[in-house]
This record gives sequence, structure tokens and C-alpha cells, in this order.
Amino acid sequence: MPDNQSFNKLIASCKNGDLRHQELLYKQFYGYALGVCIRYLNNRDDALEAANDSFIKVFKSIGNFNEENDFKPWFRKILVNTSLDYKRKSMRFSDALELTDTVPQTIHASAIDKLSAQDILALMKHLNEMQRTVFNLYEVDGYSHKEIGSMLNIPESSSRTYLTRAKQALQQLLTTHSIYIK
Amino acid sequence: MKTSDEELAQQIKTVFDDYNDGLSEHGWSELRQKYPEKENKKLPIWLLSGIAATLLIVAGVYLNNVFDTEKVILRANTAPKENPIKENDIVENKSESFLPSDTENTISKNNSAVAKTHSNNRLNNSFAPEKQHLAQNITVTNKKVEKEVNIIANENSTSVKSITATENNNQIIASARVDEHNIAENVTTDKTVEVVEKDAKPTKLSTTDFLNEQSKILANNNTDKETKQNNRSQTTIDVFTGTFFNYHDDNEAKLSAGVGLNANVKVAKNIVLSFGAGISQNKVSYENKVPVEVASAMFESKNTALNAAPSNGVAYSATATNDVSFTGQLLSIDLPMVVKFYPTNKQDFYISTGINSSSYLTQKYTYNYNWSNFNVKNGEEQPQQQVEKSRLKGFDFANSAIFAIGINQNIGKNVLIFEPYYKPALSTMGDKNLKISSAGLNLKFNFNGNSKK
Repeated sequence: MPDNQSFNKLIASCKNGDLRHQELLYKQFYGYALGVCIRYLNNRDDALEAANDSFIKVFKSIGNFNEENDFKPWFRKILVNTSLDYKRKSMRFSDALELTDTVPQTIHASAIDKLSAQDILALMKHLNEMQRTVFNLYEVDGYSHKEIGSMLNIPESSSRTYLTRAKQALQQLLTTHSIYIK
Repeated sequence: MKTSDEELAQQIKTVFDDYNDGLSEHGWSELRQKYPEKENKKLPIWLLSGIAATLLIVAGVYLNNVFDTEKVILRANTAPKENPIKENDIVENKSESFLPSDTENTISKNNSAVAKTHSNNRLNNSFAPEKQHLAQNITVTNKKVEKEVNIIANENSTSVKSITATENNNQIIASARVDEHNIAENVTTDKTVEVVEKDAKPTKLSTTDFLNEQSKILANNNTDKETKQNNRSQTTIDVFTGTFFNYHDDNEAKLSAGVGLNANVKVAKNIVLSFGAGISQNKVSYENKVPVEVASAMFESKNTALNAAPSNGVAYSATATNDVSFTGQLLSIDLPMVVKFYPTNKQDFYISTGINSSSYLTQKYTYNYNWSNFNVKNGEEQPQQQVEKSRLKGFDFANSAIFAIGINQNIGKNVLIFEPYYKPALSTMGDKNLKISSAGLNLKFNFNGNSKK
């Protein structure tokens, strides 16, 4: 991560529409953007498309960004909203999927802190879309149930319910795979 | 102690905070297919408006000329028959007469001649009491006018009704009332004398003859007008819009446009100094021969980008850049200064030469090239684009010469000028030192009543 001064220069150049510096910003935050999007979309191709759409939004609206604030939280909001929009457009929200008894074969870690990205994605695939989305929004990205209800157009109580079910499902999966906290 | 949920959430944050799959280059290529959005290929509204206005003006001038010609033909066919001119009118309203003063003199002399002839005939007792036809060839000394006059005397009237004269085969018809006393001196009977053309040929003029006649009359009238015009203001203002092509060697020519104002100051009888300011958009495209200075600037900026880029495991050695193309767009303030020379006294066209200087409101340079690296996608070529922009930067004095020909077209008191021109580059333009020549057409509208400027 570059220091603040050089990062501010990078942002200033992006505000001037300099494509070369936009490319630098893109490559700087490519991993972060893809990581956020893939948590919600659980698919690399979809995540890349959502991430790129988010970058385009950033390039177009970066004039509104205040360099005194942190870039990452501002960018994360864009990434999360873009991913949720992508889900809505793709009609990916579904309650049909429930926790299956099928144990993922790709998880090899014995401790939570040893879980790789692929392990976590494999675990998450056994949550339904709502549970995964609410778990990500609440536990990972720090949104409140009120905010989640507003974002997903569901009651707060439903958000709590989805979260509880997601935790139960994950607990069951961790136990099944003998994955423990070290 | 953390719960498993909290521990899992923390692990998710840690793992996905930098989920780098090493394919950021591919991701950027994907993004570049959507961004920046392709520029709108539609012509700007002001350019469309300019083209529409130009077409309307040209059509208006054309139709105006067509209707004027029809009016002249119609007038030539009808005027002599329907509007005989009384001599009194001619004498009292000379300025409105179609007849030059020479012709009027001729008519007066003719009257005398007719009267004299009439008198002589009477003395010879060949004048009939009812109607008499007299004919005589009369030569007027100051102008070779040949006449054949028939005089018809009418007992019931005392005035001369009309005189028809033929001048150099051009017929001029006038009805004249001659003082009765003049007739009385020569003709003892108080009777009407009617002068008509002997052969009673049709009084219609051919269009060509009539136009020739009118040109002579107008030339005389214009002499006075030109004298007045020369005393008017020595400065006029032009508003102009131009459409032109920028080109360089055998690269693609790009259509561009501009608008502006000119002031014209008369410095001699046929010489006018013209200067002004305009805004023009210059586009230039280098597909085949990218100038050395442009290419080197592009490679320099590319290398800077590579050096500044964060290392993500991709070696930038063994890179190749191919198929470089370049486009430049400059929105410039042009300051032309030319000398116009009017070769003819009518001043209906001019030849001009001068210089143009430019300053730049915006400059935009776009490089397109294919970039390949043996460590990325097995060296497969990837299309790349770089854009550089700047604002309010630079001034190039005398960056191009101007050679033009202006053709004036009167519209009422104002003048529309069609000015094809050629501007060869004398020096370079903009940050990238582009040497751009251009050729095009200016459409100028001169607002001063001093029309043939």
C-alpha cells in the first residue's frame, strides 16, 4: 500500500481522467474488490464482472471522493451494493437452497485460521443465498440488521433469522469437518 | 475467547481482503472493453446547426437569384406595352427613368423633328385633314439614332400621345405630352399628333438585350453609390463558420469545424487587413506514420507506468509494443491575420494570404497499441489505450500560413462570403508538436452595408 501522499496523487490523477493512473488504482485494489464480490457471488466470473462495474462507478464518481477519508470503506460500499445489484439482476436470491447433508470434499483444514479462500467458498456454498448474504453483511462487513433489512428489502427480524440459521449451518459444517478453533 | 462464528468471520476478512488471483491484467483488459465509453459518434449540435444554416443560406441565395431572373424576364415582356412613359414624367422624374439622358434628348429632338416634319408636310399640302402618316429618317448628331416615325394627326385631340424611337435596334417607347404651343407653331391645325412606329413591330425586348440595357443603367447608378460607399466606414465585421479537413502525410484526414469573428480594416483602395479570433476543434489521426516525437512520448509514459505499477509477480522484461496508432484532439483559439487583395473594381472576390497563431483550451491525445509480454498469456497481444489531457496550455505563433480566395454574394445590405482556403503547417501545434495542415471552406457573413468589401 503506498503512503498517503502518493496515494492522494494517484486519486488526484484519476480525478483528472488519467487512464494510466486509473489502471494503477485498478491493479492496486483488484484483489480487494474481487475478494468482496466473490464472497457475495461465490463465482469468480460473476465476481470479476461486479468488481469491474464497481471500478467503473469509482472512476466516474471519484470526483466526489474526499481524499481525507479512507478509500477502502467508500469503495467497499460500492462493491457490496454492486454485488447485491448483480444478484438481483441475475435473480440469484433464493430461499430454495437449504443446508445439505453433503459434506464438501475440498475442505482440508483442521483449524479455522487455516481455512483458505477456496475452503471458505466451499463452506459458503452450503448456505442458501439469503443466509450467505446476511452472514457476509453482518459478520464480515459490519452492517446492522436495520441496514441489511433496508438493503435486501426484508424486515429486520428476517435478517436476524437468516443470520441465526447461517451460523447454525456453519457450526454444523465445522463440526462435521472437525474444524476447530485453535 | 472468540466463538467459532467470530473466528470464521475474522478468517474470512483476512483471506478475502486481498484475494489476488494474479489476473489483474486480464481484469483490466475486461474493464477496458466497457470503459471509457466510446465517444458519441453523433456530430455536435452546433456543427449540425452550422451545416443546416449553410444549406438554408445557399438554398435561399439560389432561389432568390432564380426569382429575380424570372422577374426580369416578366418585366421585359410586359413593361413596354403596359407602362408607356409620358414625356412629362421623364422630364420631371429623371432619376426614375429607364432612359439615359441621351435618349431623353433624342426624344425631345424627335418631337421637334416630328413637328417640323408635320409642318413641312402641311405646307406642301400633303397633310390629310383626318389621319396622315408621315415618315422620315432622322439622324441625331450626338448619338447615332435612326428613327422611323409615323405621325398620325387626330382632329379630336390636341396632344401628342406617344413617340416611339428605335436606338441601335433597341426599342425605347415613351408616351409624351408635348406642349400644344410647340405643335401649334409648326402645325396650323390644333390637332392631335400621334407618333407610332412605322412597322408597328412588337415592343417586347429579348431578355439578353434587356439585361444588357439594365446593366448599363445600373453601372451608371452604381458609380454614385460606390462614391458614397467609399466615404462610409472603413471597418467591417465578419462572422464565420468553417468546416475543414486536418491531415498529415498519407494518414486519414479528419473533419473538423470552427467559428469566429473577423474585423476588416481598409488600408488602401483594393487592400484590406483582416484579423480576428475563432474557436476550432482540430482532430488528427495517425494510423500509418506516427510522428517520432509522439511515439517516443508514448513509450516514455508507458515505461513510467510500468515502473510505477505494483509488482504482482509479472516481469515486465521482454515486452513488445506493436501497432501503435494515435489520435489528437485540440480545441484551440485561433488568431488569424491576413491581407486581402481585391483585383477588380467591382470587388466581388478577393485573394488573401496571412498567418494563423493558436492557443489551446483543451488537448487530448489517445494512444492505441498492442502490448505483449512473454510472461502474460504466453505473450498474446493485448490491446491497450492511453489517454493524456491538458487544459489551457500553450501558444504557437504563426503555426500555419493561410491562402484563401473569397467570393462575395450580396444578401441585401450584407454580404455572404464563400472562402475556400488552404493552411499549410509552418510550425507545430500543441504539447505533442503535431504538424497539421488543413484545407476547408469558410462561410463568412459580413454585417456592414458596405457590401462589396
